[in-house]
Formats: sequence, C-alpha cells, structure tokens
Amino acid sequence: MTFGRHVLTISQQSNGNNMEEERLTVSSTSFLEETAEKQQPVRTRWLSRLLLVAFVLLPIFRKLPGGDLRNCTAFIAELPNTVYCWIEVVLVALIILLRHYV
Amino acid sequence: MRSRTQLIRLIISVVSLSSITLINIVVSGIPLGLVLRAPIAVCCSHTLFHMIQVYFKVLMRNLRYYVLMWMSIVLFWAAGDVLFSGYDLPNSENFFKSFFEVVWNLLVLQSTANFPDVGLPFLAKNIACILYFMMFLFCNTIIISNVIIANSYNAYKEHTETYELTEGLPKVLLGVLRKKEKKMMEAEAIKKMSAASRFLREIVNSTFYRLTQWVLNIVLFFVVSYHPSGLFPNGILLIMFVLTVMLSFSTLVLVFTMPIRLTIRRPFLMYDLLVVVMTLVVDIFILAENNRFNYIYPYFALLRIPHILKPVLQYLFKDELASLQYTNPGVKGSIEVQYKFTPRIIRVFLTLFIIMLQFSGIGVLLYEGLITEQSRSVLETAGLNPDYVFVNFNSTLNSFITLFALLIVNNWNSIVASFVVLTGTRLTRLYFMLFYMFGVLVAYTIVVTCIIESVVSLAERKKAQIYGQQEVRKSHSAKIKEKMVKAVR
Repeated sequence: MTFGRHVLTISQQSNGNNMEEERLTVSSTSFLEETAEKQQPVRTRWLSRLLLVAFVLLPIFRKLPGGDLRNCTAFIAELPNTVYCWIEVVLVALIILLRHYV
Repeated sequence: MRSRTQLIRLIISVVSLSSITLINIVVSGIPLGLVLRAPIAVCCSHTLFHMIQVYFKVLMRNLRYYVLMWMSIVLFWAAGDVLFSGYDLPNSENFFKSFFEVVWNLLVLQSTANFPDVGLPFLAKNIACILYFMMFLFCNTIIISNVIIANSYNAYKEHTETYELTEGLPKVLLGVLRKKEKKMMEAEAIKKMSAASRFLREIVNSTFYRLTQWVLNIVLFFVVSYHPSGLFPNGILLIMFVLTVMLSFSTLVLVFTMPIRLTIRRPFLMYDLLVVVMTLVVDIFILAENNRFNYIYPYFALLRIPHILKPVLQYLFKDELASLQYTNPGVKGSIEVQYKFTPRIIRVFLTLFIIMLQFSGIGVLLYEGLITEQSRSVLETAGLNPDYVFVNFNSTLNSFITLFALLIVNNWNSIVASFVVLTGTRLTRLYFMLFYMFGVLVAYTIVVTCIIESVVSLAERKKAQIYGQQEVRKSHSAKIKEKMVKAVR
C-alpha cells in the first residue's frame, strides 16, 4: 500500500526533525498492523462502550416523567432501590474489567 | 507496563466502585452512583479522559482571569457600597444590603440575565447610576468574558495540535489511510462495473438529475408538511408514495452498483436507503390498513430535510469542503490530514455532558422532591412565575433540563430564586454559582472555542491552498521559462 507512505512523508516534512522522520517513516502496512495489535478486540471495545452508555443513562430511564417511553422502561422504574444499586455495582465492575484488564 | 495516568484512572474507578458497594451494604438505598457516575465514566473512557484533560487545561490557563473576574466583582461591591449607601430604597429593590447579595447580583449581571432590571430602582433616583452598571458590564462582560474565550481558544488549539501530533496521530492517520483505501476500492469497483451500470451511475450523478431530485425532495416536503386544501390524506399519501418511488431510483442504483462493504461506509447513502425503505413500507401499510396510522406519515417528510439541506450546504461551503482534503506540499508546520469537524464537536459536547452529569448527580441528591405541583402557591406568593415548578431536580432528566436552562443563562436568576424561596436559605445559590463557574464559564466556553477553532482552521487551510497553488504555478512558470531560455539558446 503506497498511500500510507504519502501521508507519513508529509508529516515528516512538517516536523523537519531527523528523529521524527525515522519514527514516522514506516510503511502503512506495518503501521496498521502495529495499531491493530495495540487496540482492544473490537467486540470487547464495543461491549464496554455499550455498558458505559447504559451505566450513564440508567438513572434517566429509572425516573422518566411520563409517556410511552415510561411504559417501555417501567421494569427499570419498578426495581427496588437495593436491586438497582447492585445492578449499578455489577455494571461498574464489568466496565472496569473490560476497560483495564481485557 | 501501565502508565501513571492509566494507574490513576484504575485507582479512581476501583475506589468509586468500592464506595458504591460499601454504601449499598451499610446504608441501602443511597444513590451514591449519581455523584460517582461522571468520574467512573471519565476513568473508563479514553476519549472522555482526554477531553477532561482539555477541560482542566482550559480551567488552569484561565485561572488568573477568573481571579480577575472575582476581584472586579469585589471592587464593584466596594464602589457600589460607597455610591449607593445614601439611597433610600425598599429592601426588596435594594440589592446593596449585604455582601453576599451584591456578589450574587453582580455575578448574574455579568451574565446579563438581570440587566437592566437590577439597576432600575437606582436609575429612578439618579440617572447617572447607569454609569456604574455600564462600567461593570464593560469590565466583566465585554472584556474579561471575551478574554476568557480567546484564552480558551489558545489552550484548546494548542492541546488539540499536540494531541494530534502525538497520541492521536495513529488514530488520525488510520482515518486517512482508511479513506484512501475506500477511494481505491471505489475506483476498482467502478473499473469492474458493466457498461450498463456505469451508464446508470453517470445518469444519477449528473447535475441535471441531482437538481431534479432536489426539487422533488422540496416538493415532497412541502406537500406533506402543508396539507394543501382539496387534498385529503389519501391524496397526499399517494403523492408521497409516487415521489418516494421516483426518488428511490438514484438510491437503488448507487446501492446495487457498488459492493455492500462500500455502501456501508457511506453514511448518507445508508440514511437515504433507510428513509426510502421506511417511507415506502409505512405508505403501503397505511394504504392497505385503512388509515389508522395516518398521523405517522407527515413525520417522514421531516426525514427529507437533510436531502434538501445537503446540496445547499455543499454549494455554500464548497471552498471549505475542498480545503478539508487539501494536501499542501508547500506549507510547513501543519499536519496534512483531512480535517474532521464532527468528532471534535462530539467530543466537546461530551465534555459538557460529563460536567452536566456531575452537577445533575449533586443536584438530584440535594434538591430531589423539593419542587412539586404544590410549590406553585409558594412561588406565586413570593412573586415568582409559578410555571417554574417544571424546572426542578426531581429526576436525572429533569435535572438536565434545569441545567440546560442555566447553561443558556437567560433568566437563570429567576430559576435560582425559586430554589432559594423553597429551601429558605440563600446558601442554595452556592450550587448555582459553582455551575456558572465550572459549567458556563469553562465547559460551555470550550464548545464555543471548538467552533471558533474549526472556522479558523478551515480559513487557514483555504489560505494555505491558495498559497500552495500560487507556489505550484510559480514553479511551473519558472520551469517553462527555463525551457524557453534553453530552446532559444
């Protein structure tokens, strides 16, 4: 893939530093491979993102003012406080595990 | 090996988790998660953590201006105390009765929410009093507030540039590589196409066809939105159906002539396909099902707004769009990648959201259940608008609405007044003052600076493009001259 070289060469021009040049002048294929290695597996990343969004939005759905959406999320609203708090604990624990250890 | 920041993030997350668990075991039912939600989200998300770093950078950079702002408020309190001490005003109209009252009113005055109401009783006594208020507004609103925005712009720009050249570089380059890869795949797919498919693509991409499509979209939007007289719902539905079928032609051509993996990568085409399919399905359903769901179809006209706006925006900002992807070989010091506005604006809105989430958690803990329908009479007695009962902290959603109203700062003093009346203590103002300081003056300013930065960057890229083209032209004409000189010799 030659197009990767193009971008990296221009970055090298803008820096004008020899050390930077060496670091940045890598082929796009190896660059992509290296980046992919460092990244979390896609599924885990999306799962942790989803859990984080759920954790942030949970209190909104717990107490909705009214309307159709309230009926849809009634099961969250009807949960006893203790159960709801424990759900939060489990969610946070899962998020920490996925974000920091997987 | 973990870096120090990662370790700190992990420690904060674990401490937050332990606190929630402990509180849950010891005193069941206290929603501590509301307050710890924002720190946990920040520590578990790389993007949010990066944006909170920006937030604190802007906050620290502006610290001296915030000090200056408070100094100015204290100075104006002292000056006001000397100037207005001789005025005999009723207690409710005189805001120079205590230090805290003056500070609060001057802070509100800085946001212009209570101007000119706050000065009217003094103006009635002496018109020259306006000078005091004008001086304060000039110092705090016109000068200091704008200096804060300008300084935040510098801090934001510096941070973004450094981030893009260091940590964010792989992400940015990956985006560029993927875009180029997509273009190559598209070119390959077009090469492999049959003559008929290529012909169809040429037709739907022609200017005349696109213009016709745009006009048809407008017709569809207005016919459905305005319900012209003489057309009963079935007539409008039929027009909508026919127009959607006509408009679906280009979408289907583009979808079926390209490989699926490329179609998925084009968000607007996917949106278009979704609108077409949904409109057709709903139309057929309503026609076949004897009009029970008639109320739904006008909403589908709203989905056509992006189709109408897109070409207009493309025409109005054609230079900016061209400079977005411009690679300038002549200018040094700028990283030549595609400028992405949407992820930036999403990131700054996320910062605002996180700050609001934190204040919403605290607000719900402090003021949940304070304002109810029964509070109307209390507010009315205190001379406040009883409809302010809708602005409350009774749930997370309500608290977000309240905080948004505070963020816009219009009449925020009246919102706070209703809380002060119902709690019975002026200390309630402290929470709202803190939100003004950390929410409005920092987080909201970051949103403003992001927009300014985008406009300035695009203008710079445009300038660089013109400069680059001139350079290319110069070198080109120099080469021609050289050749001519050689030929003459």
